[in-house]
Amino acid sequence: MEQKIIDLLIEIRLQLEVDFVGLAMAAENEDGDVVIKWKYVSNNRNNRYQKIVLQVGKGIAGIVWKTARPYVIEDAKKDIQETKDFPLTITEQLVSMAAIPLLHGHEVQAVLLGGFRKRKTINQPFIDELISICTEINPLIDELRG
Amino acid sequence: MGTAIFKQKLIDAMFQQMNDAVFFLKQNEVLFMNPKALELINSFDVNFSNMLSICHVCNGMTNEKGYQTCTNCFIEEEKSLESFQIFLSKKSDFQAADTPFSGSYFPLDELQEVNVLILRNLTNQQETEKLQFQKSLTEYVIHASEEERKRLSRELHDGLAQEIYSALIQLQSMRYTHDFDKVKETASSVETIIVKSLNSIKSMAIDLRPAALDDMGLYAALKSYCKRYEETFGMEVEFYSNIQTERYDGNIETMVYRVCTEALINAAKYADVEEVVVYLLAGKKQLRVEVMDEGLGFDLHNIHVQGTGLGLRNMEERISLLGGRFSIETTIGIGTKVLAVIPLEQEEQEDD
Repeated sequence: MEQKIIDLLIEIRLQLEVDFVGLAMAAENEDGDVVIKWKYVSNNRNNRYQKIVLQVGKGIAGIVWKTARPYVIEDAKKDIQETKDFPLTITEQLVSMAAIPLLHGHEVQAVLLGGFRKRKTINQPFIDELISICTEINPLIDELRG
Repeated sequence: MGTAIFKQKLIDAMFQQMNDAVFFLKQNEVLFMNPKALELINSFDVNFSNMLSICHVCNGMTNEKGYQTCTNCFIEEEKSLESFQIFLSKKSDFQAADTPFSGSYFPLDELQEVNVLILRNLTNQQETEKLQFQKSLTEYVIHASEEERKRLSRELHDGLAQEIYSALIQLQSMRYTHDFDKVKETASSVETIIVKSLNSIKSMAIDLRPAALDDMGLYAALKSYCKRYEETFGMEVEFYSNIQTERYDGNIETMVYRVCTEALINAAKYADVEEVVVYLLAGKKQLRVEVMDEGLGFDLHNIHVQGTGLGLRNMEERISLLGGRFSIETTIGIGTKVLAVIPLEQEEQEDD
């Protein structure tokens, strides 16, 4: 099952020609609060993503989780004032990226991010393509969540 | 012919009037010097007559190894430097700090072994630089505190206020609902929102100043910072310390905490590694903090590549306020070590 998701992320990366793809999902921390973690990635530089824990509303995945809308960073160097709020841009050295919510009804169940390590224009067609790909992931995630 | 004489006249006049001290040296004897050079000999401890080399009057130079050092001296390296910075001590006042000079030293006539030494007093220039640095540091601090306010204001407005507003709307809707199950459902949703808001408030308060620092001391505060830091940046921190519950002067605890967190954030942002090591060691007389990574490292003389470099100066400034020593060792491709040593003597006196 997990392998299926990882294979799919690789496929997405090649299809979109992005440098990095990540899938964030909800987890529970020690206090029982909902937090968000990057669960599956493709073409990561290191394993720091595994340790990153995002609060809802924090970080790219946290913001998408909270708003249930796509979130775009055109140029991390210019658009981000506080890099510590966007740790993945540091660990994966991402510059331009878009993240979209994977919805189950009205509820966000995962966040999919596609990013470039060089400055690229993120336009609506790119986001649309990202969204259309989601239809392939959604059933897998449903299955994963049982 | 006329121009040649005129040129000679101008060169003579320049030699007499220039603000740089110029010595023509043959072996250890001064062949000629200009009035400024005479002035310099009178007021500084410079005696060329029994000088074996320039090292006898020089109290260190500025190079990549340090501000006032003899390591990698250009003379030992037998390099001819266009300009260098050396330090001379004053004759009248041996207590006074050595005066910095910019110098150049080059052979004029190798056969007759005549060398020229030119020295220029840099005191004024360095004072100006110091002032300028102070100014930029002040600007940095103001900017940083303004950014912090902006961030807080944004978090209050976009995060907390929104959450409370949404709780309010749901509470209002409860008033007009007669369906008890619906009321129960809304109440539990409001509860969730309030729990989340409380958590946001707590984490904002910790970000501003961890209560642990005041209540439990430096070790506990840093320990819990390290845990949050690991989750924020996806780093692994190895934190070693020989203190547990010991308390130090409030200023020392705050400064060490700030310097340590700043160094950690730098490592997370720029070192590109997964692990960083922190030592917090207390002796009888000093407190020692080390933050080390085996990351990219950087060029200390060209720190503007990644940032302003003022963060580093800010750390240095904080430590020097406590009378401590601050140093950064970094090698590209090997890693970085930030070291701060703070004297604890003051506290001992208080104990007596």
